Parts: sequence; C-alpha cells; structure tokens
Amino acid sequence: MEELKSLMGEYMHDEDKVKLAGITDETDFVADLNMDSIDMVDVVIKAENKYGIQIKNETISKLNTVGKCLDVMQERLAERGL
Amino acid sequence: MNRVVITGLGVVAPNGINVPSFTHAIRHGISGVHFLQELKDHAMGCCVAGFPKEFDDSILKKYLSPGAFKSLRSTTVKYAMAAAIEAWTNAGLYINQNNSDPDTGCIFGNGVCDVNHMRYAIEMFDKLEVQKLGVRHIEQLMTSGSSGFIGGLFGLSNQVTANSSACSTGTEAVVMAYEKIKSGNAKRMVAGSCEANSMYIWGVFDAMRVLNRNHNDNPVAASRPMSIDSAGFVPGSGAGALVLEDLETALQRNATIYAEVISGFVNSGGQRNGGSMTAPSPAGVKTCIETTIKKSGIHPREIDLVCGHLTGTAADKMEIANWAAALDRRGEDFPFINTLKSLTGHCISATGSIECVAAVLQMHHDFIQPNINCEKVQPEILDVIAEKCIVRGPMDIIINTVIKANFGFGDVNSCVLFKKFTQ
Repeated sequence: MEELKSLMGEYMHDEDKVKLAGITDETDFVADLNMDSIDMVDVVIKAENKYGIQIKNETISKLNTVGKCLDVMQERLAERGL
Repeated sequence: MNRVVITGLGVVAPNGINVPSFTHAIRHGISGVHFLQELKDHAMGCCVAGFPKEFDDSILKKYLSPGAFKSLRSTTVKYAMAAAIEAWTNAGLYINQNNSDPDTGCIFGNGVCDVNHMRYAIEMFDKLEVQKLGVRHIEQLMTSGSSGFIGGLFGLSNQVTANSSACSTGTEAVVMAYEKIKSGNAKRMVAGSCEANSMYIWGVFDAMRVLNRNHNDNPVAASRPMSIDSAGFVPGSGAGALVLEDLETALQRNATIYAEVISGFVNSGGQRNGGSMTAPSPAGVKTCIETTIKKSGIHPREIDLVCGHLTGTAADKMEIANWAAALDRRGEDFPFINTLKSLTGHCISATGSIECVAAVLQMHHDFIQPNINCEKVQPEILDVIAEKCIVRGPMDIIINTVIKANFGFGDVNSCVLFKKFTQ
C-alpha cells in the first residue's frame, strides 16, 4: 500500500496529496483523488517494471480503485512466488 | 458576415518570450540569434539559430495535471501552450474548469512534431524498452498535439485542429480562424503555430545548402534578408498565438481590440509556371496577395506596411518583385517593408504566427520594426523599390493598414490584411 501511495503521489496535485493518508480499498483514483485516468496506467506500468510482473490490458482498464489495484498486483506477485 | 478582430496576443520568440519583451525587442532591433555548439558538434555548416533561449517551462506547471507536466517532453507543445496561455489571458479571458465553450475553437499548426522527442521514443523502441515508455507520448507526438493541449486547457468545444503548410502554416492558421468567425461558425478562435528547436530538422535544411554558413562567429549578423551579402536563412523556433473574435462578442465584453482582420486568402501556385516543391510560383504569390486585397475592398495605396516573408535567400528579390506587381506600386510609391526574420531567423512553421503577432504589435503601437543586417540592399531589389522603403532603424510612425504574407514548401501561400480598428 505504501509503495502504491508513493507511485500515485507523483501524479497528484499537491493539494490532493493530503487525501493519501485516508485512502481505503474503496478509494476511486479519479473521483476521490482527482487523478487523470491515463496516469493510473502509468502507475501500473511503473509497478510492472518495479516488481517484474505483467498485468493484462483488459485488467488495467478495470483498476479504478485502490483495492482492485492492490488485489491484482498481489495476485501477480503471488504467481511469481513473492 | 461578421467583422473579425484580434483581442489577444501571445508569443514565445527567439528575441522575446512574452509580448512585452518581444515588443521591446522588435521596436529596438534586438536579435535572438545565437551560436549553438550542438550544431557545430554535429558537423552542420550553419551553427547559429534563433531560439527562445530564456524559455522556462515551469510556467506551465500550474496549468497541467502533475502527470501531464511530468511527462511533457515536446518543445513544440511547450511553446504552443505558453504562447496560447499568454494570448488567452492577454485577451482578458479566464479558464473555466467546469464547462466547455461551444463557440470557441483552436487552429494551431506545426510542420512536424518535436523530432527530439520522437527520437527518444524510437530509441526506447530500439532498445526493446517500448513497454517502459509510459502513456503520455502520442498526445505530444501527434500533429494535433498542440491544439489538443490548448483545447483541453481552455475547454474549447468548437473546432480544435492543427494545420500544416510548411512556412505558411502560422499565417494560414490565422486566415482559417478568420474565415471560421467571419462565416458565423465560431465566435472566437485561438490561432497560431509552433516549431521546436531541433537540429534534426535544421540539419535537413543545412543539407539543402539553404542556411547561412558565413556568420557562425557573429550570430547577430547571420540573418540578412534583402542584403547584398545574404547567403541563406538562419533556422529558428518558437510559437505565436492570437485570439480572434467576432466584433460583437469583443465589444460586449469590452475587450481590448488590437486590430481588425479585414481580409485573408490562402492558395497554392500548383507547382507550375516557375513554382515547385521548394520555389513559389510568382503567379500564385501574386494571386494570393491580389485576392487578399480585392476581398478587403481597400485600395493597395492604403497599405502602410508590408511584413514580408523575406528569409535571406535568393528568393528575396523575387518576392519583392511579386509584391510590387501585386500592389502595382513601385519605386518611392512602394509602402514600407520589413521582415521579422532579420531579428529571429526563420522560425519555419512558427514563423507566420510570430510575424502576425509582430505585425499587429507594430500597428497597435505605431512603429516599424527595423530590418537589421541590411546595410547594403541587393541591387535587383532597388531596381523595383526605393531604398527608403526598407526601414533600417527604429521608426515611430502611424500605421493603419498592414499586409502580411508567408510562402511555404509545396508552393503554398497565405496572406492576411490587418487594419487599425475603428467603429
């Protein structure tokens, strides 16, 4: 979660970063954090590169909340035995 | 038909990165041409260029999302946005974050995307790292990248597009915007054009042997339109932006009116009768100028100032002959004439819009920008027009009507007539 927050923070307006402290699994990247949806794709790509995982295109487009994003990343990491 | 006026100006030019500094530079003949070691290191013959040396892209930070700003690589887009933001705020307009505006559009052209940025993307691809490239590249590399960014920033929902017609691009954008408003299809348009600093683009002109190689040790003297010892143009970059508006809308909101656009025309010489991919057909040029004047309803004798294309190549003398024939004015009867390029170099696809901004500023503030580096004029030019028509020093004089034209590869021409606004 903390690493995801750090990645997301790079794409958020300074005045919105305070919201990172209170995020939950249900937090929506666009509606709640005022992020641009295309930037979430960048966040996923960075996570892929960092952890050596691959997330399918059709899955990426569904990752609209923090919880969904974390679930998919943990699944992929588990597949790699991490 | 609606009357069309100019209510906002913005510029990122080699000799001024906003309207106040640009106005000062053109009034006093200050050059923005510099030596570039990078060009020498890459075996270019011409090692000087006109580019906005002092430009700082941090001014864009507050207008973009953090992701968009962080990923912004394209100088084309950066210059375009900075010029457009200045024109928009200069016009007294604000950015509505909630609603889009169906009456306002944007035509912002360029010749090619920022090739340095394209090279970065190609290198990533060739290193088999395309998957690490990230998501925000095509929005900057597409031809309509600049107009797309500008449209999104201001919430424009009339036509938002990019034109491309080589060195004619900027003036063509202004004419297209003028026609859009005149015909009632928009109330307001942001018009302009941009060109990145790119040795890759400048290098292909150098390979054509059309750039000046004789003044690498004296950059300010390198751009020499109309001069007897001109030896090619100096490449450049930047962006110009104008807000065009229908008169009624401008008056309703008490906007400052810099000028009225009273006519404009765009054509091609068809690459026949002396015209080619790289040379303008004299007949095409004359038709473009004559049609612009005819459509305006004014007499050519009413024109106070010609802001020419005039690059510093062998084509200068032909251009002067074409102007004289189209205006049917010669010798001492010819109007004053100048070219911004002696101060900026040739900003390629940005040149038309930057020069339109310069033309409007000269009329608004009643001065003529000097042609520097033209101590001795080509004799063929003096066979057609009197030397006094070529302004060499700062000149304060009432200017009521300015004609501006640009000509581009592909044998394409654009011409626009600006008049001081009166009710």
